[in-house]
Amino acid sequence: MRRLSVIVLGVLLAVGAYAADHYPFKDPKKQRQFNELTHTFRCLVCQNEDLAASQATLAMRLKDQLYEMVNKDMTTPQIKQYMVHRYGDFIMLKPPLVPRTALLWFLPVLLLLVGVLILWRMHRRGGR
Amino acid sequence: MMMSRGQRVGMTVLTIAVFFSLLWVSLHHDPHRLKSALIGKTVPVFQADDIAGKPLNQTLFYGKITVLNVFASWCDTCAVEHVFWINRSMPSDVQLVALDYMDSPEKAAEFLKDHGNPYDVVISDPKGKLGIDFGVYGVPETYLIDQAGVIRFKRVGVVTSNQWKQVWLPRIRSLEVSHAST
Repeated sequence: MRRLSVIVLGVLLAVGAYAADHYPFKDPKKQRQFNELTHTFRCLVCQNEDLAASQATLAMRLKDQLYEMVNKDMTTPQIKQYMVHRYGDFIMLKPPLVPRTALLWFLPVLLLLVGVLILWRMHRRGGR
Repeated sequence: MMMSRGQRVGMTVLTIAVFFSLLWVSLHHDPHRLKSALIGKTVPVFQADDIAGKPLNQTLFYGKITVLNVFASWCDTCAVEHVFWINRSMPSDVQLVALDYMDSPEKAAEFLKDHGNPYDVVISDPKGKLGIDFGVYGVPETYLIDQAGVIRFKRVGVVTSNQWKQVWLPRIRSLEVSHAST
């Protein structure tokens, strides 16, 4: 188990080092912005991966594009708009809260309430 | 809350029905078939070369109906689809344009020499930049663009004869009609 975690840690560090080598920034603030952005967007090829983790060609190109935009001093909202304009909301790993996605966001809470209600009624009936 | 036996059976059946219809729906839902975010929008402004090095820009898409096929010489599925484009004659007012995606123009030229060239224009996009502007995420992809350069329709994957007849031709006809009436 311990050896496994060392291996996993090693791989993670290597990936991080690779990313830093590949997309070097002089300004640590931009580095941070870039890193955050690569975790914000979905790789559209392997859909449950973010751009940071994905090695798909499209993800690589999108990372190149992000690198360029960050270096051009574009702000995070501007870059998000750029990506959503081309690939739609789906490229955001965390879907935006708009009427169309309201069910997605609130259904878990709603189901929990229904569950609590059922339990409460069962409990009341059992008590009698 | 007292439920009669009938009600209880009804509730159970309902729950199971809802559950299975959810499963049924997701069975037919392919998450890789994304609706393009660019439908209804004008083609991006761009500067690129064709595979022979001739400069091109977005005006290529103005004034004619365009079927834009995204392909690459490295894409095996595209080679399969290529047979379809070779054997298809476009209506006279429709241009068939290719976007050679993440591919070297030399390799694309070789591919077209070997397999035949059905395209009126082949845009070279060696780094996939224009592809990003079009929201391309896999090849092959095909777009229908109207006379004003507005993207009207997109399909991911191989276009087949049947799909062409059922999906593409009717859309091209309606673009021709709406254009003629204005």
